[in-house]
Amino acid sequence: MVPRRLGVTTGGEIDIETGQILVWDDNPPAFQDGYVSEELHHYFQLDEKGLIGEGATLTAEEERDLEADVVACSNSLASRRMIPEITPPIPTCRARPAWREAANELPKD
Amino acid sequence: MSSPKIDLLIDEVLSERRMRRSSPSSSFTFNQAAEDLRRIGRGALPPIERAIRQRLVAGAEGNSADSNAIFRKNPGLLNLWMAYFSISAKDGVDDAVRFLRSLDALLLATGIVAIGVTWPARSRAANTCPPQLMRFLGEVAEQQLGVASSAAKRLVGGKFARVTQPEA
Repeated sequence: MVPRRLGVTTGGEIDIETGQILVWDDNPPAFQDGYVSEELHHYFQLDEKGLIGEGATLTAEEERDLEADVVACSNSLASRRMIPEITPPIPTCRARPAWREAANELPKD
Repeated sequence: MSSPKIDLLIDEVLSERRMRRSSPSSSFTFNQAAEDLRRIGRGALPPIERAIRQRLVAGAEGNSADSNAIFRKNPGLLNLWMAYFSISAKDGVDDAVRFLRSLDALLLATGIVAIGVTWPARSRAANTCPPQLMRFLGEVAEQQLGVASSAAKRLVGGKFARVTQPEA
């Protein structure tokens, strides 16, 4: 575990040339092992495809696919069935804003 | 490029100060300073050797049995070794082997781990690891050099086994 790099919002990272995994020391303790697992998963993905090594690069599409595979949020029906709870309910709000109520109570002249 | 500038670049590689990523939320990173160092070519080899010999030894004090402590202290060390082997492989493998022979077991172990990283077994690059380095790995694996021999054995007996053994 190492200090978080400035401006980085992930829980960890993997160097695509060396395969080295770094996890930030300011992650919530309960998530720490999960972030290690996520980066390990990326390692195996890259290793399997022979994408780790000197001068390695990823296209935007490859990167998106690799990230999507981690949370199983690809568009396939099978993966959506696996995690139905991942889609949050659409928030609805019928309450009238308080400022409108207050405005109604103002004297009208 | 002048030596102080190369030293600065080495510092950036070791501390991973210049990492490239497609977005702040991307897990995939790339050490930009290491690529710049590789572009310098042969002129970068002596400063890299100096950095490994002087700065890493100083950083390893108090953790004499643990090469992982050196990696933790220098997160870009694998990138630095990779740049070193990459440049050496083109021109100067024998010098690289000489340099490796001059290192103590702890630093040598970090270099051997980096050989496995520079020529990953799954990629075609594994077959291009220079034979001088492969022979050196075989030698170290058979010696009693602690962590260095263990690291060499892992490569020779595992990752590089299909590369080092003659085809039937």
